[in-house]
Amino acid sequence: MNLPDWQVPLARREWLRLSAAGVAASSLTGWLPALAARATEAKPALAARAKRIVVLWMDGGPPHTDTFDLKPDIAECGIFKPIDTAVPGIQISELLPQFAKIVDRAAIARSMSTVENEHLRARVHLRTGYRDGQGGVAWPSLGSIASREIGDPAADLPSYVAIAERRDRSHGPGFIGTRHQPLYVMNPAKGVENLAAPVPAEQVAARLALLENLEQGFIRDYRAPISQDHQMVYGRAVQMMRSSKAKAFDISAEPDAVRERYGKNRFGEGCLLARRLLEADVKYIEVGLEGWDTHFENNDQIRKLCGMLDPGMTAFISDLEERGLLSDTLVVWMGEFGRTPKFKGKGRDHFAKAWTTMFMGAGIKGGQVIGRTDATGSTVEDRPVSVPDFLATICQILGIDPATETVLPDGRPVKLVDQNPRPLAELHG
Amino acid sequence: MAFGSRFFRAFLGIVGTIALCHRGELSAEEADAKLAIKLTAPELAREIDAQIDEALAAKRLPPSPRASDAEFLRRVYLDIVGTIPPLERVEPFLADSRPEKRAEVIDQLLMSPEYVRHMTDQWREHLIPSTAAAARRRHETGLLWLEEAFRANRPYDEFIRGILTADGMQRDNGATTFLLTHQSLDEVTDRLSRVLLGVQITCAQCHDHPFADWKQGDYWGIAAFFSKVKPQYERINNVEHYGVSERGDRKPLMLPPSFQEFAPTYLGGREANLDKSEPYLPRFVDWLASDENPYFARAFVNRLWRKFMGRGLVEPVDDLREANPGTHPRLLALLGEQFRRSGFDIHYLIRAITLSDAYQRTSRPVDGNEGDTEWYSHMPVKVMSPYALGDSVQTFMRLGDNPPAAPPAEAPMLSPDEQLKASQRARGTRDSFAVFFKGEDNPSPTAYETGVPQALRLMNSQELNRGSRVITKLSQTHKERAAIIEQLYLATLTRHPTDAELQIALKHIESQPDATRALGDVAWALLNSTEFFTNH
Repeated sequence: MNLPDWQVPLARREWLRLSAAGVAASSLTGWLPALAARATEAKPALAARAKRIVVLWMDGGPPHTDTFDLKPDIAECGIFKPIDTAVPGIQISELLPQFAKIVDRAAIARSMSTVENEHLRARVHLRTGYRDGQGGVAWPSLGSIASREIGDPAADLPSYVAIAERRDRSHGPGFIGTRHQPLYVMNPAKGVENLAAPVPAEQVAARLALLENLEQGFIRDYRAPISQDHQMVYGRAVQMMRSSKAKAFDISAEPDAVRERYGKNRFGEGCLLARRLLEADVKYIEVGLEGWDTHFENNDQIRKLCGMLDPGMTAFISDLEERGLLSDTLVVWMGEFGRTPKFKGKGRDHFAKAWTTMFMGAGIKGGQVIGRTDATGSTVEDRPVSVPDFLATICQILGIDPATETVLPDGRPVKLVDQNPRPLAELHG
Repeated sequence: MAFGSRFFRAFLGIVGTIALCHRGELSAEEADAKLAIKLTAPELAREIDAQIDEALAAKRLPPSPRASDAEFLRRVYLDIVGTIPPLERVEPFLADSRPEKRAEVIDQLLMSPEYVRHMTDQWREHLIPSTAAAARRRHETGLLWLEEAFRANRPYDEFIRGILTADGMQRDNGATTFLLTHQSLDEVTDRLSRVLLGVQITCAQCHDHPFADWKQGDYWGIAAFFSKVKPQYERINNVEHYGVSERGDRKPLMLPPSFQEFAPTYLGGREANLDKSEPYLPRFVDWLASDENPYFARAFVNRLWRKFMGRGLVEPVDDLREANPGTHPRLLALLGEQFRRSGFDIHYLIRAITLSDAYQRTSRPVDGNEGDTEWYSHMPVKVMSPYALGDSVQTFMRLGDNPPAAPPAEAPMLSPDEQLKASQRARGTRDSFAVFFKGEDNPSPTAYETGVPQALRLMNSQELNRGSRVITKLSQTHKERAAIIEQLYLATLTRHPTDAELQIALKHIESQPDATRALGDVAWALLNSTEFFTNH
């Protein structure tokens, strides 16, 4: 008898990690490629439309009715007024006046409809495509899968960088292994610290040789996968120490006027760092803007957050365009869910049933709205977008190709979250 | 009682199934009889081994042999006090041939200030949210309160009672800190149900749980016990003071939009029928620690077991429920029951676990058990917590320090406020290191969470490159290079180097222009090795 997926012991993860480090790695592809496979069954496989991706992650869950899906006719839905944008017929919040001028670059999906209403569970679902606990394994995040599928294994910099204050397993590589973990940057103004060794290069080399030799006994006797993880991470760190590309992490090299334009705050600095990393050909970058969990003082907090979001995102998109990077870089704006369209007290609660995300770059057709919520912003009336739809869309754009089956090493077939994802064909005109 | 009997039936069901599966095992009746006797810590250790060994035999997994003294000493230090043993403790222990030395060191460690510090690190993470709102509150009095509780080995139920029924101002009662750092009713319910009951009822906040059978009523029934908690505030001489109380007419904790009105209800469905004019939380704690509620003791036992053994008897540790019985359900029931009978004695439970053969096995796998991560055939290699890593580095670096100056005969009198500030400052350095290395909240003890930034700090930061001071000190008492290498191994890895390792290190030194610097390289390599930052 097969147990339901979620009852399989968590410890299997360890076993998977072991396998992932060795020969079984290529047969362990997660669901994403399989989703992409299904997504492309109808049509011949698509070539990649984008070489890189940046996710602007609004941590905590941004309210759609205060940002990109306003309901001005319903007083209870919010106090912020809609304003006209560069695209006739599309209105967004008055808190985003700079971005309003470049809305023709964006496709706004107003019909996200997902299922997880708690932060960590929703983060896991939106970042990995699986619900937390499902299958008893730790699922790889999209960033980790992108690192494996489109990353350059020989690159000096990691393929996946997360500029995020909060680290949790939803970012992680899960069972595909430490090789594809994100490089976390906690503070973009500091970048990556301790890149310079305090001793001369030849002593560094001698120390590392010594370390490697002295490690052998422990590796042999204890056979712990942690040893491989450790060597992997140290190898990556040393490669960065020795690379001239690592200076991409130093935003202090940017002129002050540029830094002002992006905003001298965590998000503006994160966007600026992301641009520098794209230029160094990092494949997957997440830029976090934390603080959207506005249970209590929603309006004050939203005003503050949009004050960082608007200049940061606008400068970022404009800069990418100017430098010719936007056409082959996908930019996604999202959180883990939206917020209740109506207030309770001065706050808004978590709300997964209807919310908004946004796509830019990668040659997508901008200046359009996909899907629609009802007059109160509380249900999706047209073109609901599920988590599999959403992630399959991104996969398709990145050209992540179905190469392998989704059968775990014990022969257990992985149940797909949704057997029939419908990627957003609207993005491609 | 409805709940109690429901759980009991499920428990009997599990026991019955196991008894049917494996011949020669205790019958359900015998197992229950075991529950009824109060066992000493060594007796409970033997009982742990009986059940672990039985499952290993059934799975045909050979157990690994007993850990060497060196392996044991390092492990028991890291698990109980959160640091590697200092050099001066290592050699005497290895030289001691008395069989009781292992039990003795366990007892010594439980009485040490480092145990208090280590427990406080863990419980601080369990009880104070890592939110911006919580960070704005003062924590120091709460942390001092935790330290006092662990120093006195307060029974776990009393310890929790102190926290949940704390009433008054924070400056007078540090225990108020924990309720005070929670902003809303759902936040406090989520945390305390996970930590104290080991259940994930959070998802039932908005809808019935997708996987488990928790209903919205389970969630809001528990939440209702916290509905009278009110933050207190006063301003004296321009200083703001906060507190909590279940009495008075201030506004209670904020209600989330998903709030549903329920009467206070114990987990499992029995309504509490409380007097509305009285505080609710004392009654909640009565129920928590009563024998009607198996979750409280089991959640603690399972979490502690996971810390020491690398993996909970039930995983995830906050998902105890009938459909998720874990690997050794009888053992969990026995440990929970014995913990309760001991008067929720935390030292007792730590002794019982660490005295068991299961705990004292080597981490080296043998042929046939290398793939096992669930049945305790060998001790998993655990990763040091961020605090343990920082403290272990300090334990080593302290060898390079001069002996501390004798404290002045007449220590200056510090006002209570100055004392608080001093103790806060002392915490600051440890905290900043730990924050840099911290990954997910409450990670699995075997999860590798070090990334490139952390590796760079371990390799290149000043704090990790002070090894030459240690070399200078060691050179004053040890003249031979080999002897210094020996000392470095004992001080970092708690063992002697093998001949091969000694040769590698000596060869490195010969190849370098400066012997002191080269010995510093050896210290650097040891501190950056997997063996150093793991607990095995």
